[in-house]
Amino acid sequence: MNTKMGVISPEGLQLRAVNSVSRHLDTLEGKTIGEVYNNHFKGEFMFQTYRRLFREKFPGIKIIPYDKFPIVYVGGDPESQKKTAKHIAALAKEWSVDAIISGNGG
Amino acid sequence: MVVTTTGFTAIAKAVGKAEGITGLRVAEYPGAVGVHPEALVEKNVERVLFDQIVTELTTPRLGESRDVPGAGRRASAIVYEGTFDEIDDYFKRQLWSDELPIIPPTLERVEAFLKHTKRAPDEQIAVLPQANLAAVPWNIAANGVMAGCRPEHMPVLIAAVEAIADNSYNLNNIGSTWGVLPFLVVNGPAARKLGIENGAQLVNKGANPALGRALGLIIKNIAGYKLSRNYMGTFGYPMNFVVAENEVECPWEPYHVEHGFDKNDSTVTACGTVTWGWPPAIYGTEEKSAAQAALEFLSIEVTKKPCLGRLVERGTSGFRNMITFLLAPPIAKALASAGYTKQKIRDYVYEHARVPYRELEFLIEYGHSEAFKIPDMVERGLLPEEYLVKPDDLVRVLPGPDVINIVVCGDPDRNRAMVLWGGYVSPVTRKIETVL
Repeated sequence: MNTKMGVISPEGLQLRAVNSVSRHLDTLEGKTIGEVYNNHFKGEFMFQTYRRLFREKFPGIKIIPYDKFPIVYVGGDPESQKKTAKHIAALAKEWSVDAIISGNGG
Repeated sequence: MVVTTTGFTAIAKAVGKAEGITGLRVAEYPGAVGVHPEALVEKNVERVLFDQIVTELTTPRLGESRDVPGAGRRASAIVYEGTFDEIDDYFKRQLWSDELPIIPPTLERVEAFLKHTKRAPDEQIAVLPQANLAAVPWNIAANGVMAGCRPEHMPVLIAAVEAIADNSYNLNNIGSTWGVLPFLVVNGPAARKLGIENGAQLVNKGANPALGRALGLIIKNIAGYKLSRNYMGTFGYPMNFVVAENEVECPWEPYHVEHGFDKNDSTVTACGTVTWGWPPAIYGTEEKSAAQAALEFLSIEVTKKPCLGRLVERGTSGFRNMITFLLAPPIAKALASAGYTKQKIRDYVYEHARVPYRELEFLIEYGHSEAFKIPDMVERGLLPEEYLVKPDDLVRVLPGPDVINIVVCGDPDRNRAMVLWGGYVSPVTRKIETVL
């Protein structure tokens, strides 16, 4: 039991380089924010509250509500989920969205 | 950016990293929002969450738009040297063990496993989500060694990795607070040759416990599911388990033949469950045959164990489900003697497993984190129009007959059946390469 042994790692191998997130916004004033919702964890009420607070603090902000984007649902498999994500990205580009708030994870 | 609830920031960042993004912007709502009244939700958003959202969106991240290279570690590299106890402690600190003592994966032990596969030691067998890390024979074998498997189990482990890697299995989504537990069904000559048990107390006997443990370690170490980070079962997880089908006592085609394989092929089927529990003993009488009683029992059990609000969903974006019937041989034989094929059993249970609409409505409205109701689900294509009925009308709980998988196993002298329900996953079968 006191003999020293060398061991290998059981972990999987990292395959690819990782990219960092996109650049931050200098201000939210005048920006377009998209909402993406998975119908989870009372988000419909939380998004409403964000909208009110955004308008109070950043009057020039534009919000594209979650019902304009596809619902990101927990069902399906990775393939169908990625298809939905690509659709959302295309819509965000088309509508010149500066940032997306996606929720709710849990 | 992503909004999470307490405890789920790590999983959001882990998923982001696996998809190629480091430094994901996350804001976290405090507490279990499901039990918070609207006034408290509003207060928490105003006082905690909203400022986090603004900060996350407007604060520079170190290294924005810069690439972080992959680790580039060799799979065969010695990563630690120590005594048995030191290695065990080290593996626990690295979150590589399941908290039970492990067998150290020395080069000698791992190389013994590699002799039992024709695959090259560095060959990429699969990339496993969520971490999207590569499984190669080196690290598959290391997990097998740690679990106490024998070298000749290696082809089973490789086939298991290939099965759980398939998108249809949906490994990417098993981190749920539900506690989704993957398990394996083994068919064919390899099961007999390797001592994988199919009889009484099978999950605890023979090669089964070590293979189940290896599956759990592979999910932890190669798929990257770590407790409290992205493997979030509210009450944790029992040990992953393995069953073999009793093909001698099975009165029908065995599971793998039913799914297109030759009876002389050996296969592993990746399955999942969130339930385990009472296996009803089924008795026939003069008035009601054992087969009829079994069908009625199975139909009742299907309405009790699963999360019905999820089980009912269908369509490409519907929730993934699988039901597994573990039938002890006497029950299988009673059904077969009465003329029931596996498909007829599925059809019967699909037709008869029903609950009142009002019960399903309650489960959907108060048992899920979503804001869906039955009419919303019909509108979204998750349910057909047959669900738009009156509160006391009975509605089906199964999305279709084929969600049921039937495996004959367990004590060959007992008249019991067990119903397992696996949310989030669908079964995937892969052939086991020749056992060397």
